[in-house]
Order: sequence, then structure tokens, then C-alpha cells
Amino acid sequence: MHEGDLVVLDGAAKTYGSGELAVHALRPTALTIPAGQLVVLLGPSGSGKTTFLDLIGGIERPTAGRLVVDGRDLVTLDREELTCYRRDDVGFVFQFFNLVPTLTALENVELMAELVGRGPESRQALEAVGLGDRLDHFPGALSGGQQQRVAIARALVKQPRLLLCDEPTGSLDLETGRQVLGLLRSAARAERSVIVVTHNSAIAEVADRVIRLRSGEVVDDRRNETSLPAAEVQW
Amino acid sequence: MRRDVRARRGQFAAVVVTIFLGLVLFALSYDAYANLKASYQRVFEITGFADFTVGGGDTGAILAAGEALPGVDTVLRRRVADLPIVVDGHKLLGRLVGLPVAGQPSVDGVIVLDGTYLSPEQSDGVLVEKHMAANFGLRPGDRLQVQGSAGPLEVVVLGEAASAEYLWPAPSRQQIFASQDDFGVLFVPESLLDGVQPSAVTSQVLFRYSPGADRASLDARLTEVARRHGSTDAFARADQPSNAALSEDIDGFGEMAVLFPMLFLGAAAMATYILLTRLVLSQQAQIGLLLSGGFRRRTVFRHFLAYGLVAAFAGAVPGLVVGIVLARFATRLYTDAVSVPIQVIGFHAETVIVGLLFAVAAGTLSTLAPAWRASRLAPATAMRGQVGSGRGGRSLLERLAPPLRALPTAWKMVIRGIGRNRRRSLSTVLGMILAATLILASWGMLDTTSVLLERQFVDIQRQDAEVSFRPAGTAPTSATPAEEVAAVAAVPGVQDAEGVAVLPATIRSASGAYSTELRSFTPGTRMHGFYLQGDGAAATGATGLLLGAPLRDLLGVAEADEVAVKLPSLGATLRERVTGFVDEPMGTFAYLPQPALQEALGPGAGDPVNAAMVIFAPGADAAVVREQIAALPQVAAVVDSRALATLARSFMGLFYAFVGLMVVLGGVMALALIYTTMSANISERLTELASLRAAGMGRRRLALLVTGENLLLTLLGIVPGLVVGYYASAAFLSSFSSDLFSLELELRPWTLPLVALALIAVALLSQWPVLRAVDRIDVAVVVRERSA
Repeated sequence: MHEGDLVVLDGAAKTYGSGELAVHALRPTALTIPAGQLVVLLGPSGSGKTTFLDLIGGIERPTAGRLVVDGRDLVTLDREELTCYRRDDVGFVFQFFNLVPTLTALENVELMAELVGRGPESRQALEAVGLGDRLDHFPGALSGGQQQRVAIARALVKQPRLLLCDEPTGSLDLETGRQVLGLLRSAARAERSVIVVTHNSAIAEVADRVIRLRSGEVVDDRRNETSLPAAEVQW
Repeated sequence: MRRDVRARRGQFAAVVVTIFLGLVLFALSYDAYANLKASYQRVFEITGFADFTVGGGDTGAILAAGEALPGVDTVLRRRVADLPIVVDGHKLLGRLVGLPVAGQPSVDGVIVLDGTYLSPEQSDGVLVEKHMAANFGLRPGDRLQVQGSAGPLEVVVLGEAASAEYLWPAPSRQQIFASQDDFGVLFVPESLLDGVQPSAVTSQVLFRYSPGADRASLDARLTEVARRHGSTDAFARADQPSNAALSEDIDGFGEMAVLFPMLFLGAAAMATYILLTRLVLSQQAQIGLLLSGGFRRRTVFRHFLAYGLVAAFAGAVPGLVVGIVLARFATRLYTDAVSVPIQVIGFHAETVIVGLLFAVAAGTLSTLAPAWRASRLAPATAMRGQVGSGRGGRSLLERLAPPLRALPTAWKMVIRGIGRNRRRSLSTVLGMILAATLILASWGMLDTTSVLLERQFVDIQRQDAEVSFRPAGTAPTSATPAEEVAAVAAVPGVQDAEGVAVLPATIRSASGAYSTELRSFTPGTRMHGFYLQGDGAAATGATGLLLGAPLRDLLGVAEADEVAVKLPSLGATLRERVTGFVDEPMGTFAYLPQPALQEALGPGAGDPVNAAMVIFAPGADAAVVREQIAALPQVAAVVDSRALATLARSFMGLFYAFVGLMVVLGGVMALALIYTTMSANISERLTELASLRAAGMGRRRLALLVTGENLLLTLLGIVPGLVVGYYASAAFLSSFSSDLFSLELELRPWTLPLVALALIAVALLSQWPVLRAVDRIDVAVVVRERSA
């Protein structure tokens, strides 16, 4: 573990059920993720990658070990403290966007921004993802890619330390997916790490680091010496 | 289907409970109504209750003419007299009804409850009516006195009897409430009435119709016969005072048997509709798969229709059972309270059949549209599972009130949430309207009765007691009316006494006739307040003829119209112009100031005053003063007005229980409906809510937003609900109005706010299970589901 490590898993594990019916969604894992990395979690369905993401995001609790994010052991936080952690330090992006359909693009971003007192930055966040001309559009009037960009803006407006993305291109075509990957690539900077969960190995080429999981275990963890620009990814 | 019901057991339970309550109310009201009707009918059959009664006039000619009418089966003549009677030193007004000693009469007989019927061997033997017997504890062998023409007549109690004419012991239509200490009925041998003052005796002719006779036609024809032969009082069975009073009551059961269950079944239908719509939406993909796999559309249709039928039966069957059982208790309670001597409690198949039909109709109609939609889904589109959970767009509220656009975004979400699913929001609003209507209709009855009792016994009838003097020539003294009034005023404990003329009267117009009392007060009287219709309180110095407000329609007269006022006790008929109509909650009287009455009677007529109104001195013992007044030789009877007020108010206890029950049931209905709509609302937006939780929105904040949306819908429903409830309450009450009771809605100032608060409290309570569900969202799972 190093001083610049943003995320530290120290034997963190997640088991559902007990005894013979126990499901080891994530076996005891020890690794660190420094700030500024774009990390892709790769693996087939049931490999534990989503559980891994949920533990770091604070929407699941480890059943064993420690999980330290930015110096805080998430295992010791109570429910309210975990909520504050997610509010202040985590941004989520999901496969199906999960926007509020009755709010405009701007209002969807404002909804989250107002939680952390950054309401006035919402417009800027949307402009940063190329939707400056779609502020007053409702989700129903936006394409899939545009909706996902709104979701990214919504997550980033809080200036989180972690951006956690679960199959962010899963509902998108290649071209739109590349645009989204490009945004995620640029979101990973000095003070922030981006973790992307996917089963699509092509996306791993964009990452700084690829962690492969199978059956709840990390089976490979390697850095990409050279990462591909998002616009060149093919799948 | 079982799994679906289990997955949404809270909402299905809410629907089933609402149907259950609706059917309980239906079965309770309808069966109790049927039982009570049957109980009365049995009494009427056994006693030969008269279909038509004529009092006064040429009874011989009336009998002959009436007997000849086709459809008249039995005719009987009898005599009745109103005289003072004394029981254990207590004087009260007695109604003596003459009966043949040889055996029960063929019309208006009695049911002997204790002792024996009248006997030829005992000419002084009498039967005491049930209420009087209970009040004074009279048993066979007890003795009491009746005022005869030559002095008191002692009579002996042979037994206790019940009569169809006095199931509700009312002296007249104008005096529906009578204290048992002031009025009692004796059934006496006809021969005994030979020994009383003739002027106190009224001859009557009683008619019974043949089965299947045209009652309305016969009523009209006998009314005309009675009028033609100078009758002072003629009425059909429906207008007989006791029957009229009780019928109003049990007809109320009949009305409630339809109105209240309809409210509940309406709410249940809305809740079922919302639930099924949500279910179909959430199962679109599966429905599409089944249809693409070869399932017939009618199979899908029947499947979803079955949900409504299952919910209907699940609620209706136990509801009917509980309701029918409760109806039996209610029947016993009511017949005991009113002292109906025969209880007919039966099983009415129509209660079950109609109840089930109501429930099935509600269950079927509510699921028809969602089931049809499910069966018409295009399989390919349905399997894609792409369903929006609401349209985008600014809300109507924001367009109407632009400043709302400056609200924090979270609150804009709340406002716009109302328009996400307009049908569901409308159902919530309608549910609140139904609940408000149910609660206000009941609470309105309570308020109105309370206000009107106060008006009747405080503002209108200001006397503490009404003293009737004995008819001229029957009193042992020859005092003038003024001297009689002075004697009453001189009784210790009497603060004020005024002479009053209280005269049986028939008011006749071109359109009809009405038998009532003419009450004649001194100008500026302190004993009576006159509430002119449309005008509020008027000065007590009314200058002309005032009529009770119902007579405007009953006689088809208006201000300045001329009517004939027949006063049979004075042998006079006056012609007077109507100067106004008075709004009085109880009874329909005519009023004419004494100077005007005296002038109309002519210079040779005597003083018509035959009664006194009395106000007791503060701190006086009312019972003692009453007895002292009654002991005066010229006094025939004393009616304690305050005791009447107490008697009327004692019936309020039932009202409180009824209103309490309706408020609770209305609350349960609103709770069930709001819970169902909110649950459907939340389940449609779980992904969205889970995303907000994942993004760091706290539980309390999220609960506040959900509650805000719910409350906003509640408020949108409360305002029209109170308006609709107000008018529904007014209409419901006015359906009970007649010449016996004038029931116009009167709400106390705090009632509407209280009802609104009650509904808000219910809305907040309904939140609890919904908020628990929001709190328990498995964020990790739900955020990954496709919004549906």
C-alpha cells in the first residue's frame, strides 16, 4: 500500500448466505488502486466484477476484510456515513442511464449537484460532455448516447474521487460507445480514479490497468503499457 | 397468480379490505333494513294496522262512503280522548284509545305483552301501552286515575300492550318527541269513554285495504271523503306519526345500504384498476412472450380479469358473512331500543346475491381495461420491455405559477411526479373525494342534528314547560284563561308565564290541506323565537299568519296567498293571508298573534287561550315546580320542554357512534387507496429512487420527497373532496327532510378543517409501508434493472 493509493482492498470479500448455500461473490482480495487511473474490471457474468464495484461504491458491505477508500475504512461506516461517502466521493454511471424522466438534462444534473452545493456548475458539467445545446431536453427526447453523457455529467458534477461505471456502453452502439469511453478516459485525472466494469474485452484496451476476475477471484491484474485512444476501440 | 398476489400482497390486501368493508356496510344496512321492515310488517299484520285513519267530522257518513269504495276491506269506528291521567300522584297527558271488550278489533288491535286483554267483566280494566308501563313500572293490578267528566275515574291495569300506532309514542306529527313522564297511552273499554267530557273525545274511522288494492288512489279518495264530511284530521298509514317517524329512521338504513357501499366499492375499483395496470406494465415482456408463443389473447384477457374476480370474492364473501351477522345484532339492538314487540330476523338471499353482484361488478369493471390492454399488446414491442416511467414536461402547476420554476430541483421532481401517471393521480384524487364525502356525510349529520337541536330548544322554544289547561267546562273552577295563567305564574319557582292558544287546525289551500296546530302567542312573546325563511331570526312580534316552511310546497302557497284555517275545537274557520314561512327543525306549525286571532274569531268569541308557556326561575327545582303546576285543578298536563330536549339529545349517542364508525371507515378506505396508488407509483420508479440512493441522497430526504408528492396529491383531492362532500352531505340530509323534521346542513366552523386534517393524517399514515419499502430498496440490485 502506497501513500497515493485511493482504494485499498485488504482481504475484502463478499459472501451471500451461509453454510452449504453460501455464494462467494468475491473471495478475499488484496489490491490497491491509486488515484488517476482508469481501471477496467473484466470478467464473464458471475465473476464478481459488479460486486467488486458495489463494495467500492459503498452500496454493498464486505463480509470480511477491510476496504479503505481515501483513508476511510468503509467497513466501519454506518448507513448514514456510507450515504455521505457516496454523496461526496462517488459518482455512478449505469448501463441503463437511470435518469429522472420528468427532469430536463440540466435538472437531472442539478438534482445531484444541489446535494453537494454545486448547483451552479451543472451547466458547465453538461457543456463539458458536449450537451450544452441540450440543457432543456427531457430524457425521452435524447438518444441513448446523450442520456449516458447526461448520466456522466451528473456523476462528475459532484467532483467525486471515484467514478464507478457499470457497463456504461452496454446499451450503446460503437460510435456512441467510443464517445462515452472518451469522456471516461478524460475523467480519470490526478485526484480521481475511474473504474469501469464490463464483459467487453475490447474496452480494456482504453484502460490504464485491467483486472480480470473469474468466480469471485482476481485472476489477472496488469497495466496496459500503451492504452488505445477511445476513438480507435473496435468491438 | 398466487406468486403475483404474494409479491404485491400489501396492495391486494388493501383492495380486499376495501371490498370487505363495503360489503360489510352493505349487508349490515340492507339486512338490518329488511329485518326491521319485516318486524314492523309483522306487527302491522298481527294488529291490523289501519291503512287510513279519519278523525272528526261526520264519521257516520265517512264510514258509509268509505266502505263503498272498491279496495276497502274493513272499516271500523272508534273513539279516542286526550285527558289528564294521574299515576302515583304524577299528572300527565293521556291518550285513551277505545277498544271493544268482546275481543280484539279488526283494525288497530294490540299485542298483549303481559296480563290479559280487556274484559266485559271488568269495565274499569285498561291496558297500558308498553312505553308508559315501562316508564312508571306499571303491572297488572296497579291503579291509576283518568279525568272523567264528573271527576277522577279510577281504573285498574289488566295488562301491558303494544300497538302499531305507538311503537314510537308520539302524540302527533307535530310532537314527535314526547317525554314518557308527560305523555302515555291507555287502551280502554269503549264504554269508559262515555264517562269523559265529550269535547275531549274524537271519533275516528279506520280503514283497511284489500291485498293488492291501489293504495295511492284509495288514499286520495278517502282524503276527499274526509274533507267533504268535515274531518279535522285524515292521514294514510305512511303519515301516521309513529310510522312516519320510524320509517324515516329505517329508510335511512335503506339509503345507507346503497350509498356507503358504493363509495367503498368505487374506491376498491380504483385501487384494483391501478394495481392491475401496474401489474400488466411490469409483466409486459412475459405477456409478449406468451402471446408470441401461441397463447390466445382471450386467455391473457381472462387471466388478468380473474385478478379482479379473485379480489372481489376474497373481500365480498367474508364481508357478507360479517355484515349479515352484524345485521342481526343491529336489528336486535334497534328493536329493543324502540321497543318493537316482534323481531323478525331472517336470511335474505337477495342480500348475498346483490352483494356479490356489486363486488363482482366492481372487480370486473376495474380490471376490464388493463386486462384488455394486456390482451392487445403487440408481442414484439412488449418483449422489448421498453416502457417509460413517465413523460417529460413541465407540470401544469409550473405553467400556472412560473415562480415554482425557481424551486430546488428535488421539489420540481415532486410537482412533476403528479403528472407522471395521470390516471393514477386522478384515482388518488377521486379516492380522497370519496373518503371526504363519506366522512362529511356522516359528520354533517352529527353537526346538523346538534345545531338544529340547539336552535329548536334554545332559540325557538324558549319555554321550560308548556301547561295545558282543561277544556272549558271540565275544570272544577270557572276561572278565565287570564286567571288560569296568573295562577300558574304564582307558583313558586315560576319566573314568567304567558297565555298561549294551542289549537288543532287544518290549513287549507287551493292545492291541498294539512292538519297541524295553530299556536297563538302574545305580541313580543318571550317564549318563542320566529326564524323567517331566508331571513334568520325575526322579531317575536310577528303580525300575521306564519306557516312552517314545508307548507310552502305541501300546500303550494307563497307569501300573501290566502288560506283557510279551520279550528274544529272552536267551531271556526278563518281566512288569513300568509305573511311568511318559518324554518323550524321539528314540526310544522301555524302561528297567528293573539290579537289577530281574537279579531278573526269575532267580538262574541271567548278568549281562545287554553295553555301557558312557563319559564322557571334560575335555580328552581324543575321537577318540583312541574309537580306544583300539575297539581293546579285547572291544569290538564304539563310538558317539560327541557326534558324533551334531553330526550332528543339522548339519541345523539347513537349518532356519535355512527359518525365515529364512518370516520374510521372513511379513513381506512382512503388509506387503502392511497397506499395502493403510492405503492404502484414507487414500484414504477424503483430504479430511479435506487439511483438517487446510490448517488448519495439520504433516506430522510428521499422519504420527504415521496411524502411531498403524496401530500400534494392528497391536498389536490381534499379541496374538491370537501366541496363534493359538503353538497353530498346536504343532499343526503335533505332526503330525510319532511314536515316532521327539517334537516338542512349546518356545519360547525371547525368541521371542514378537522376533516381535512383527518384526511392528511390518513395520507401520512398510508405512507408508512411505502416508505419502509423505499428504505429497503436493494440498491445494488435495483440500479441495474431496466426501468419499468
